[in-house]
Amino acid sequence: MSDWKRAVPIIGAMSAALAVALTRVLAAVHLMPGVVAAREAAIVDSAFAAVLRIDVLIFAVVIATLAYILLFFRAGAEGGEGKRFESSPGRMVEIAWMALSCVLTLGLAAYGSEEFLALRGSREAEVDVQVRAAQWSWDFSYPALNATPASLILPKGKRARISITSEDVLHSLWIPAFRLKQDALPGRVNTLYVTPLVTGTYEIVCAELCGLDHTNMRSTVEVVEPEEFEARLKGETW
Amino acid sequence: MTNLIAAVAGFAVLTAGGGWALSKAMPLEAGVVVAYLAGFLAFLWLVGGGPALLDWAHGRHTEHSVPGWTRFARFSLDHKVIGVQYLFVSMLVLAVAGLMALVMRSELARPGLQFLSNDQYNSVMTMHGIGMVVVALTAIVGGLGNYAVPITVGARDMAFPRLNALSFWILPPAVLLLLAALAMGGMDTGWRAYPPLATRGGVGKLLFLLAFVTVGFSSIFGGVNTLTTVWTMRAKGMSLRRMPIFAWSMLSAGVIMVMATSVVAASLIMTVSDRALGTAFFDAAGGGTALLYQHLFWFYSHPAVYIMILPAFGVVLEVLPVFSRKPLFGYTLAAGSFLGIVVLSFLVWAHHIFTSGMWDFLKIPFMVLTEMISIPTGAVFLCALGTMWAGRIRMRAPMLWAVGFIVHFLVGGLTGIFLADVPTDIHLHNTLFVTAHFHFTIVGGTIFAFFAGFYYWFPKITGRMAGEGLARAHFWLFSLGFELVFLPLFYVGAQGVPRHTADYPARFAGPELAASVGAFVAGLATLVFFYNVWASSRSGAPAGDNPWEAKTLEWTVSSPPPAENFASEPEVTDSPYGYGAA
Repeated sequence: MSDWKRAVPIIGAMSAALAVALTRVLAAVHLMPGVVAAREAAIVDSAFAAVLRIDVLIFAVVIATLAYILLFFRAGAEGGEGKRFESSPGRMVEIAWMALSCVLTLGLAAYGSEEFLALRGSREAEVDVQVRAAQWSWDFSYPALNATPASLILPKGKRARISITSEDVLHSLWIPAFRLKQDALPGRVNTLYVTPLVTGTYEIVCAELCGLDHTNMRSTVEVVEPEEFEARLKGETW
Repeated sequence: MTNLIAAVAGFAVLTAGGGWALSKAMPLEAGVVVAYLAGFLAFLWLVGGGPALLDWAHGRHTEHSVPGWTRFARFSLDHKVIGVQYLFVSMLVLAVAGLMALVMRSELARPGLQFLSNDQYNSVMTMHGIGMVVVALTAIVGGLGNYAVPITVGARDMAFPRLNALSFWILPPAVLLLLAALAMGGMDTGWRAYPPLATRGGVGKLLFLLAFVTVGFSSIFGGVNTLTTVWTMRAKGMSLRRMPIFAWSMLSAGVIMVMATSVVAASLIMTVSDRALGTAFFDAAGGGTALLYQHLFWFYSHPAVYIMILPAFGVVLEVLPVFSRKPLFGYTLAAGSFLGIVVLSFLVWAHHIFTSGMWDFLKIPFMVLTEMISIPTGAVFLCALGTMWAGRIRMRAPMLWAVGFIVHFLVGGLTGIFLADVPTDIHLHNTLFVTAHFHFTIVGGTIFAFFAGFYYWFPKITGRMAGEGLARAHFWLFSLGFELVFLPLFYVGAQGVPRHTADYPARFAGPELAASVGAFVAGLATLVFFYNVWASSRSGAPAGDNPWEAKTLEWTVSSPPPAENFASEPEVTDSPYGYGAA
């Protein structure tokens, strides 16, 4: 057991240093998009940050342990044999590891479920949009307002229901600024709910391989002030 | 050699000529299917399966193997020959599919289209994908598994030598067909071949589907053989608890190969049927549903990643005790974890289609079950670290690759949590983040473990040591190149670039260029590997029977092992991991 007395503080210190360094690097890189333009985007970002924290911690501890092993348990030129584990402390380590990973996993799952329910949100909407995807473009229509603008237009702060279908193959409507994505399937209508919160123009990207021009199947979504919404739609309709 | 040339010629004439002739009498695609079946059977017959079948039918003895290098071009029944055949073909496919990766990364080195059209890019990407899937399914399982499993369990050969030869010789027609598909208009759907895209377009797609089905049959036969061999052919005294851990991993993978592969074969055959016979399984206009394909496909293809990774776990846990000079830590836990992964692997497929429009509340159980896989997978990490702890570590090439596996597969596993978690997956699904994640699991896992196992068993297979310096250069170059490709892609994907695209917004030029440079570094590393294999197998230092001082059965016989492996049946009296001092 003398191995452990020396090891625990060293591994602990290495883990902490690694975790701090990685956290700094990841904060500087900032993996997720800078724009958080919808209620849903904030929820996804907080879920992402939570998983990232757990990942950094696990990574740091495993890599620090591995580094310790490679530093202190190398065979010299003389070779030699390693130490056999006594089975009873070995069994305790196994049980502790399994218990910890069960707790972590179930915690993650519970947290993920809660965030998912928050993300799903209400099924009530104030604006209805229909989206038809076809190789390789997006069509938007607002049946209640009798409008068919060239891009998706949504009022800020109002919940929108976007009904998505496809005329030919699979497509997927992805708005990175909203962190939301919904596949378009022929013969089926999928719905996506979103509450945009920041005005601006954002990218729509096709996220399901749909053949020749998949790469260029892009459009935009414009989030406008609610009072401008109907006027904007009329101006855009042709 | 003549048998192989005749077989390839027979295959080409019957498939191409037959397809052309039949297309006069029936719809083109139905004609191609019939012609391919004829060409496929002709290939198997001419390559040597026919004579072997007649020998069997007449009760005659079939020569197990013949001396000389031409045995590798024959319908050999010897598992050691078949293992080398698998290794050769999987490395050939690795080279071709790797070149396709270099083509893609060259195109992607700068924003805008350079020298490929969108359509060419999609075809190259699809062929890279299916090619590397074949490598990941065959390099360890078919190559190292065929060579090592019978010897490590103390058997003279696999349980069904003819079936073994068949499962290997099924592969070359599939590879030829894939190359033909590329020439016949290619395949723009990615290796997943989702309809309706897969049911539209030229005959190249049909050839792709037929090749994929063919590979599936090879995998099923291989799985049956491995299961039976490990279960029934172990040496006297080798109880389940004395079985090498690699055999446990192959047993676990075998269960998945037998149980899951038939489902993807069914979904592919349904797609072929939609194309060639006019059925409408996946066609909404005819009353079918495209979503059904995704369920069937992932019901196989998620377990399939465990066909790739379980044997990788086995190789790494086999290598670590030898080079740590310690018994395997947590043997029972490791074997139990493999079986736990087998069960869970069948219950998680829908995490691939969270955005498909599936019922919302089904997402929660699929998320929980997917995250539960991290429990047995984490146990494998414990077994690895526990084995090395307080060891006397010898940092030779196999050990280097095994340590590389631990680091890279850890990243692959941890980034997978974002894709199991529904809220983050909805954003990250189908982005380059996913591409980076699965390359960290399959390259960082399966391929690193394959190289660990390859350098470990190379002296046994060839009788010579692989060049240690070149093996180290291979490791460092490959690790560096691999990380340089995929670490930037996590960022690019999360920022908003979907996968399967031939171009990207100009603001990602920096990280995309880094990825392209990395691909060429990894390519260079692979050249070092091929040179090392060629040079060391001709003039490496003689290895002797047991260069690593290992204790499993394959190291008790000569290198390479004699015909039928053992002069007399070995008897096992203890665990294979009796290293270390109390």
